[in-house]
Amino acid sequence: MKKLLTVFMAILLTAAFITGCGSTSTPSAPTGSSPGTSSTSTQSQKPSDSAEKIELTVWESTGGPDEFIQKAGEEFTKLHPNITIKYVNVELGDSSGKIALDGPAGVGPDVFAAPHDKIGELVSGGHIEEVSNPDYVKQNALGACIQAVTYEGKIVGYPVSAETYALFYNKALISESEVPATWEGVVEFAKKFNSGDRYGFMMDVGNGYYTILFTTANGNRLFGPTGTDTTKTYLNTPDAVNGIKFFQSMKSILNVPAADLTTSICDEAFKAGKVAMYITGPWNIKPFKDAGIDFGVAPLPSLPGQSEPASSFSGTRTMFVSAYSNHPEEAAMFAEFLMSPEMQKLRFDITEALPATDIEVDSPYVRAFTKQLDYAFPMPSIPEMSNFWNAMNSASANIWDGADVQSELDACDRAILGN
Amino acid sequence: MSIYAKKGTLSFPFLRLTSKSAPTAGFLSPEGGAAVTIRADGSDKNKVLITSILFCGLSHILYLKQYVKGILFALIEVIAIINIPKFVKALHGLITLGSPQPDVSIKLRDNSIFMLIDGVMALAVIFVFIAIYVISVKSALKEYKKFCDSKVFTSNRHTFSELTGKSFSLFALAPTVIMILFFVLVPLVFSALVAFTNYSAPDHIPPKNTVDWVGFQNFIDMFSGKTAWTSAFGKVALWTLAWGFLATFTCYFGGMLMAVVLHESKIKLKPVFRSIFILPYAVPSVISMLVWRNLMNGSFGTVNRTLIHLGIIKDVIPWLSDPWLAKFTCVLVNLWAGFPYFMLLVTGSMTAISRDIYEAAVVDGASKFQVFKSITLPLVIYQTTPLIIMSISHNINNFGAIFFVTGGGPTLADSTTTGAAGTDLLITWIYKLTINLLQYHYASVLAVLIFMVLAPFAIYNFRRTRAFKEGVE
Repeated sequence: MKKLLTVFMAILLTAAFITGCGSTSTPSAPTGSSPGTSSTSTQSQKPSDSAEKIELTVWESTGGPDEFIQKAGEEFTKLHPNITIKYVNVELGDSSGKIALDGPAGVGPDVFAAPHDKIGELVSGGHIEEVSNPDYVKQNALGACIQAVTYEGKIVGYPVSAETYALFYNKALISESEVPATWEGVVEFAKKFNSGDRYGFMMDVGNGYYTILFTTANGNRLFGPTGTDTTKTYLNTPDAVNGIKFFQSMKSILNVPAADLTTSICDEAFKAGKVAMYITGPWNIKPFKDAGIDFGVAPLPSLPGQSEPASSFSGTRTMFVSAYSNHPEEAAMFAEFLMSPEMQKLRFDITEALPATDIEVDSPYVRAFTKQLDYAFPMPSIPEMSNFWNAMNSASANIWDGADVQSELDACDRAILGN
Repeated sequence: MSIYAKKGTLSFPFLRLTSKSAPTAGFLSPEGGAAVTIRADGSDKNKVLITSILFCGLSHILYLKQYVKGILFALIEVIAIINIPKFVKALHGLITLGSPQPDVSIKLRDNSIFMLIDGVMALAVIFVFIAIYVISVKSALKEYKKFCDSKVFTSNRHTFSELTGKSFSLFALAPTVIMILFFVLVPLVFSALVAFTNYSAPDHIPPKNTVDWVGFQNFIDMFSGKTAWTSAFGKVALWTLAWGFLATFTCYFGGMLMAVVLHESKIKLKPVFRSIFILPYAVPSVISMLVWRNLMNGSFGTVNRTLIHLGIIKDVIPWLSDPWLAKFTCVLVNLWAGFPYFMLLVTGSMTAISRDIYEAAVVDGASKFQVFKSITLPLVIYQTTPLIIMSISHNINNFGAIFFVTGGGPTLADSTTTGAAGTDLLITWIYKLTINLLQYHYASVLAVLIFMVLAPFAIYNFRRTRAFKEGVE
């Protein structure tokens, strides 16, 4: 038993360290306001074409992004013969911790990759600065990605890849033209379609990652428009309550208790061809292909009374120019280069991850995700997020199983804010 | 200041000692100002005591002529004194847990949790120093007593031989004791202390924010304050206890039933059946629990599907989505996974029962049931009681049997606030509180509580073991 307690201790300690690293400072400023209307040239200022040999170090993960950086580096050297790119493997999740030590020590990178929710930490640590040419990012990146790399009104990084979820549909069960654009349409279709163990629509109803989409009508966003409001979660506003009430009413077309509707159960049901429409993300494209399902992807249907697709959580993989770089201009050039249409296409061909810019790629699925990303909003990165998951997961499951929407969401709001 | 004073007393008589060259002048009548000599009649006991208390090892050097031992002791005290600023800093940190520094960059802010750990570590080190100090005083008094008895000082060489002889156990055990201190006691104390802080998300997670001492507030919240926490705790604690007993006794009697049937009946190929029954025990339980989770899924699971196809039930049975039925499911799955262990155990103890008793019973005309009730059952239970108790305490902390089958679910009305769901045990709740909700303070309260409930089980069991009994004698 002492052993168990020691184990618990170890967990505690580990958790302490993890959260110690993970909790970021609170970004608190409006985003995207007053975009520079002057249409400056997309190319940044030309560096003096001196013959000085420059080597830029880039940190990225293995398993695709490494290959992309190396190939992009070769292309970049063709354009700028005096600059070479050196790839160093630092995994996405480690870079923000490592830059704090390696940057000041002078062995850090010039450009490195990190997820967008580390931005607060990186800025407050002084490891990154505002990008030299914010208009380039604003003109090229998708809506959710621009918001994700905006911190206190300034653009601080270069989004290269994004992630969100959308509506998958099984073409054998529902034709492309039948896919509804509204949630009411989903209910209607499912009412006609449901029979036995076949379901017109399915989603993981006990998971706040997905159910958050029902709270997003009329621009209602978790922790406010910028995702940084620590006084209010915006989960119990009238817009959210109405949306979640609709979510609850959908049990009429999916009469399964929340405890039985786990992600793995839903995945399997879709793979077995028993589900016409299912909400999930790009990580399921390959498994579904392997299962032999002929499926398509559409943006999320719009909520009652809305004309646009419902909003969803998004994550953004971002390249940052290190504040410790000796060649910040060249590093910025390379980061911009990675956002160019050719490089974004190359990146997609290698990694199959969603591009962060609006480009044509040869994939029937990506278009829908790209469209959805225009309506998605970045997952907030404030410390209160750690309370969000349990509270929202439980509230969603309870509401699905028939609990009162207003009181559950009020409880959720209180639990997240720690009152 | 007191340090200087001590150093003064140290250096002055030390000089006197070197100037004098009368090693056995000790028991001569005291000359004027002979501070370094002592009488062998026991009357200088206070002198020895006071000097040894004044500075670690001082009396060894001054009076007892044990320079090696004395210098070692003194060295330890010197090390302790050099480190006093560090101790003070650590203890100050332990008391204040740092102050909020909103203007400083995050990496430079006070990290309350590190301060808490440092403080506990410092306490442990101070404890070691104090222990050594006490040992040195005791050693000085002992040496003086020896000197009074024999009128001869223990030689330095003798000190060395003592290390490998009488005091060997002390030195051999010292590393173990220190390891236990730092790897068992310090973490235990640390995790218990967290219960008296407000270490929790979102406002008290270092390094961004500091953690403060809150006294018994968490205990008050948990046991009488906030209704959500209190009722959640009540439900979880009751279920944990019920689970501990249910899980153990279903497995125990299930296992016993199988053992008796296999043992008594005229089944052919007994070893084959025994091997089959042991299979659930042989599969890694995490895997089988996850499989059960899918099998028991109310709407999509094989169990309900099969029952519906066979026409036994019309509507699905909510195995995992009804709070009460989910509890039952957990017990059932645990029975499946746990009975083989007790089957083996009972089989083992049954074979140890002498055949003579059974024959005597049969001669007396006892029926099979009577034999089982009056002979097998009491003897087996007598032999396996300690294991039952062990098993109860194991099941109270049986994380896997709950977490991998139901994940603690289904959610209840107050799960949104507390995270505690329908089948959560204290231990799975602690997991959720630390990993998902980052409510370390409440988790720590629960851990302290589990410790207090389970410690008696462990101690009782340990005291019953032969090793302990023989060790005492």
